[in-house]
Amino acid sequence: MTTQIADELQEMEAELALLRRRHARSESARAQAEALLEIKSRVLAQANEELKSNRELLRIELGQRTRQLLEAQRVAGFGTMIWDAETFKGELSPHCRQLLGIPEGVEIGGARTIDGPHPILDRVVPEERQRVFDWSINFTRRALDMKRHLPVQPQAGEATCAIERCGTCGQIADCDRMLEFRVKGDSDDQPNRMIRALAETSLDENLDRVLVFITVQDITREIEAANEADALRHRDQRRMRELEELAQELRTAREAADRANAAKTRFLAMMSHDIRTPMNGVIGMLALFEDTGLSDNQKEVLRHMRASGDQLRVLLDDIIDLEQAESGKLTLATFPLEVEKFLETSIGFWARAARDKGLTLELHRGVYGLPQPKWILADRYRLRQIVDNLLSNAVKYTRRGEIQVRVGVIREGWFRCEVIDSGIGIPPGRRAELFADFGQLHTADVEAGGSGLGLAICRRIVELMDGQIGVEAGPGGIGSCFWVEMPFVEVDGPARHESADKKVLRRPDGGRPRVLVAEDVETNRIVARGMLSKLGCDVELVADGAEAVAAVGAGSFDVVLMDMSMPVLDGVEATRQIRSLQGPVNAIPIIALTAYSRQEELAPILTAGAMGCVKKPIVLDELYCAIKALFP
Amino acid sequence: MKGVIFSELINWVEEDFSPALADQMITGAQLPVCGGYTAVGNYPHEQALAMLAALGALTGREGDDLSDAYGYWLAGRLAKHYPQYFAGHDSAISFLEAIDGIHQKEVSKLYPDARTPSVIAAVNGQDLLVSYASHRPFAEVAHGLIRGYIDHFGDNLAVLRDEQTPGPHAARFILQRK
Repeated sequence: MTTQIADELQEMEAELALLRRRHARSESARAQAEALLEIKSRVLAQANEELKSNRELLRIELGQRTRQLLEAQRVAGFGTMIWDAETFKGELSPHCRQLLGIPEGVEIGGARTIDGPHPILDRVVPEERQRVFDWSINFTRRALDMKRHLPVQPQAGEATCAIERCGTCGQIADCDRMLEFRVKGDSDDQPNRMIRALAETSLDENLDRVLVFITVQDITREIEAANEADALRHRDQRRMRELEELAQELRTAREAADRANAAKTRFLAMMSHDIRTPMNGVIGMLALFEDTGLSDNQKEVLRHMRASGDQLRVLLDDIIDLEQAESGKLTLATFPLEVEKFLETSIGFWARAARDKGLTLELHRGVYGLPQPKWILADRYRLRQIVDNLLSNAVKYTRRGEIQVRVGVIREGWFRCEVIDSGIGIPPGRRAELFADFGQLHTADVEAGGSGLGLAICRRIVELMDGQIGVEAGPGGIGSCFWVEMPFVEVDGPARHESADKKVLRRPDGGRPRVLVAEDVETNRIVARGMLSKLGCDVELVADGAEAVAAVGAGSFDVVLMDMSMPVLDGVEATRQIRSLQGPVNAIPIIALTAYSRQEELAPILTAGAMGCVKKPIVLDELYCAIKALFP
Repeated sequence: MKGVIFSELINWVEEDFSPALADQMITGAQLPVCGGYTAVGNYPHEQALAMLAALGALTGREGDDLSDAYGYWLAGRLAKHYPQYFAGHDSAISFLEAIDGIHQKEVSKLYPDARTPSVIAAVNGQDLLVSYASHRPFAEVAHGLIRGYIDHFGDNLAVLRDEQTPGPHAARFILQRK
């Protein structure tokens, strides 16, 4: 019994020991778990503190960002509003309230009905209230439709632009997202303001609410600026039209002036011919008259008559030259020119004129130290025109004292000529006028006379020669110094040079040249005959082109002088017919004889076959040179 | 290794054998912490190996056999106490495929310092291949766990051990439909 009890006791003790060990293990596990719990708790508490700290930082940053956003909206002139498309509840940014004139604290959202008070619609001008309401309602409904039809479910916060995302209803045109409307001024005396609203939709973070975002902007100034720009544009367009009309009027006037100018040119050409023809007679006859054994008194009278005739001719030439210059038809005909002889002839003439007036005229050559060329290529006639103009002015405007002509090569290939007088001088401010057309100075001091064209023509000729012309005060401020600078080309002179005094023409075989003159005006025929006889020619005269053709066909002439304007058959046609004759006579040299001085008017007869040209009134020298050139 | 493996091992021995044998196993294993384990703690896996070795000595059964049996029992316990990991799966194949992609990541989130075994499942025709690799020698426990999951889901599958990859640290299992 005792043994049994002892065994049971031992068994119970063993079981108790087992339980104790299990309990000890449980306690150990619990202690470990508690220790771990303690550690985890501390970690959690620490994490919690960090979370709180981070949340505060985020709150501060959120506040800063919000303020920045609002400030950015204010600076940019934008406001924002947002409302729930289903509940119509929403909120406005402060600047949006300011733009729309809605005080803080007034709750806001989309309008469900047009009637009744509504903070936003009440601010819209009455006539646009319905339009604004319709727009907001339509956009909100379409936003909800869009959510139902979205082919792809958007992420939270992602914009769901109707145009990009709605594949089914896709009817929301981009322009429907924008609305412009007027809101009332803040007070009765404030003007209405124009607002532009732009709507966008989005889903909230839980993807169950459709939010309508709207940005608003005051575009009053923008509209005003656009209106002002429109007004300015219209004003500019009106001015442009006025200017165009004015330009058209000017064009019309210009065309009329051009037509009148062309008529004037034609008139001058005709006048030239009409005046030159009788002048040819007068001057020519006077030249012949000189050799008729006149008394000294008669010779004196004749001299004055010839001088007046020459003046008249120069004036006529000036007018025609100016016309040619105006129409750009002034041309140069350059031939070898003997410089020394040219100077002697041209200056010598004016030296006599100066002497007659009690003045002295001196020529100084080579004043710049460089050698003077013997022969140059130049248009003798135009060069003489320049010299004559400058010296006639010098003589004309100088009452006493002297005139100096200083000529020389100033640098390689350039001449300079100065005409210095001791006359009345030119005020500096008026020097440029001298070279303008009709630019003669009007002074009480001098009875100027002349056309006032001379210097203008000189300027144009010098420019044509690539030179320059000008005037400055004379030495010591007395009188004037007119100067010309122009380039030159030196050439070899002709092998033989005829003496100016012995102007006699001879055929290559030494015989007297036989010359046929076709001229319808009797006086001119007589003048031509007289001059040709003087030059040692045998002369036959005919009165029209047909007679000339017949005479050439029948006779054996060396040269024909052919007037251009003749009755029956004019010079051009007669020339053409002569060139069509059979036999060697068709090659006879023909010199056109014409009062026309314009290049284009000479072209027909030169084209028809004339080889040269002599202008009327005939000058003996020119006639001599023209015929001389035909004989080798 | 997580303490749950140790505490459940003692629970298994107490339940399937006897509390006294569990006590003897703990004593025989000469554990440094008197066998008190909390599921949330971490302990060296050698202590589990020592307990299994002591259990083998006490029962006369092979260590692998015991490990396999423990794994099979553990699968049922995990399914009972952690149902959230088994939700959404209707077969052991689905569950095992999710271990590497989902479960291991969840464990890593909760226990950043845990060194979980690599369990990779791949479908091969009608079969599912499951590769186990760990720095701990518990391939047999894994075998038992797989068997336990198959029974839990009621699948008609047989588990074969690929003998070309023997060893306690790495093993390949083939799940074939019966």
